[in-house]
Amino acid sequence: MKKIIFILLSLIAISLQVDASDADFFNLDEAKLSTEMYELNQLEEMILSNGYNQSFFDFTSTNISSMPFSGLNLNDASNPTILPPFIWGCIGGPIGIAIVYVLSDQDSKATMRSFWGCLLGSCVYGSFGGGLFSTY
Amino acid sequence: MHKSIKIGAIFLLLPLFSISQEFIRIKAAYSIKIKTSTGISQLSMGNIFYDKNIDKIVYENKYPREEIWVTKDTISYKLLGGGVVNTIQNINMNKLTVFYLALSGNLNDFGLTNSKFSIEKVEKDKGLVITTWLPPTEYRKLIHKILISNKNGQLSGIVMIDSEEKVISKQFFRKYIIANGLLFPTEIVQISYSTEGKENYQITTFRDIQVNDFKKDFMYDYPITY
Repeated sequence: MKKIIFILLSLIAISLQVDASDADFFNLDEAKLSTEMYELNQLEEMILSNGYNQSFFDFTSTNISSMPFSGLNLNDASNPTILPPFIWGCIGGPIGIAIVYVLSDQDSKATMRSFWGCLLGSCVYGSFGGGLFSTY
Repeated sequence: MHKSIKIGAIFLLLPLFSISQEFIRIKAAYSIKIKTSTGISQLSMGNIFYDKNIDKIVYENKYPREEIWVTKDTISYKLLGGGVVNTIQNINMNKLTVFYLALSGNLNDFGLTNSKFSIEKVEKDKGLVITTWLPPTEYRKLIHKILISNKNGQLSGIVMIDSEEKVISKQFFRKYIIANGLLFPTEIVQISYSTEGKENYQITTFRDIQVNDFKKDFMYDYPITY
């Protein structure tokens, strides 16, 4: 009995593997995306309706958190990773940087720092120019 | 005689038609929303100006505060009150922006045709044409492959996969519009994955797209003065 169950499970696993294709990499969970972006979408809509000067908005009533940017040295030209996310947003992102990495053998270390900075910058550093709180 | 005049006139007018089809500059309002796995949410809004001949990307950031960022060659400049207050050494990626690629007609393959990447395979699956691009062998420890999907002849997604077959980053190009004859995505969704596999989201939205707007020369070639 156990053998039969094992064989059946194996067959299911194999069939699932066969069914998985490269197209599955392009799946996007729209519901999750909407949930994650709900507050930001609301804020964006409010700004579009009322203009950019939104200092009256009570951020403390939301789950939108502050950005930990204070420890960074803006004048540190040796670190190419620290760019505002809105710059990364318009350029190729990590994929674009990977392409540059392959194209520019001479400066690959700097390119890779940018690569990880682009990937992690928004999570670790926050933004200099793009945060929700204009407290600086 | 009349026929030859007509033919001559057509030949004379042809360059004018071809010029009208060349896309040189683009302006758009942007919103960039970021939500990280660590709970940080960010929103930036403003206008972006790009002229492919000048090759400066000018970000007129309006929210949360007004400032200008200009990326030119390998330097990004932050300007306040018309003067540079900060510079950051960068890598030259202007040619890999959605702006340059769209203006130059190379968005469909994200410019990879003109790179050192090579095509491993092309397949049609679930309504997508998926091209698998491989970097030169020496780079495959880091970047194993890049998958590019096209739907209805338009770039729809890019997925980067590392040597352990893990997805590093995904980008989706959506909601295309035709602005003055230029096909342009008005939404780019980017998902990058932390080492723990957690997702960080970024949505870039473009509005009020203007192509070949020659009224605001100043913004397209924003002066970098100290």
